[in-house]
Amino acid sequence: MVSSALFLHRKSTLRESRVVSAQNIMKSHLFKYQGHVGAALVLGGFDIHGPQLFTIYPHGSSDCLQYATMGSGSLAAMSIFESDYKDGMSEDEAKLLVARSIRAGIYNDLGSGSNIDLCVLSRAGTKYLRNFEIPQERTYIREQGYTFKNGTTILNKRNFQTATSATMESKKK
Amino acid sequence: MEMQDRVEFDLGGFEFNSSIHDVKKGALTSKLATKTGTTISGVIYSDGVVLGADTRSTNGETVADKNCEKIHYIAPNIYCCGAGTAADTEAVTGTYYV
Repeated sequence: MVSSALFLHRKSTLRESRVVSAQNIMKSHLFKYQGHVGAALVLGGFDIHGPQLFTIYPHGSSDCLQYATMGSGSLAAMSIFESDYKDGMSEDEAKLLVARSIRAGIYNDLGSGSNIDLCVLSRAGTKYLRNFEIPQERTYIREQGYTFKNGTTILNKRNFQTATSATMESKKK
Repeated sequence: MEMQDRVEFDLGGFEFNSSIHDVKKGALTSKLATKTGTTISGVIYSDGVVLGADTRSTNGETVADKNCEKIHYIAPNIYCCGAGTAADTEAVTGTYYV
């Protein structure tokens, strides 16, 4: 919804999209549906006002923060930010801090797991770092795979039937 | 002291008699809140923003997808992490008309 709305807005105004536009569309949609649209979002971007970060709750309220977390692992992730966030970090420091917060969620929350994705948005452009970290890689994969030879299952009965107009008619009755 | 019958004394305010009646019938059974089962976060640094997400998608206790994408595209300079109902986060951020 927001992606297409901002695309058309960019084509109409010939200007870069702003983060607050996305925030406004999202929160008015979520408020309209009184929390029945179950989307908890962390919105980030870089526009004319510089770097910006918002959290939007399913009922439509929002925060503008220096660091933000959401989801069932948000408490674990927030504990990392609360102890180690500082103003004016470098890009590498910020990436490692976010990766560490997600890792805290992966290890301490049962609903979270697998790999870590990151996305860096800055004046220089956008970097989408898919599977930035794979904390618990698979240690063993069965070499033979799980394919079975034809005829592994015993066949008890076999019945073929051709669909004709007569059979269709009988089904109707 | 014995409980007073609330019909005899008008205490003003809201009337909750029918709600008690509904509970007795079992009509008021609230649905359990949906757990998001996700970790997403973001931080502002000196000249940009970093967003992060895990990649586990769950269906109750079952892992539905071990490597899904939770960081959604909004615009070339804006991205959004989503937690909660996967269909809703996808519909709100995506390119569909809702």
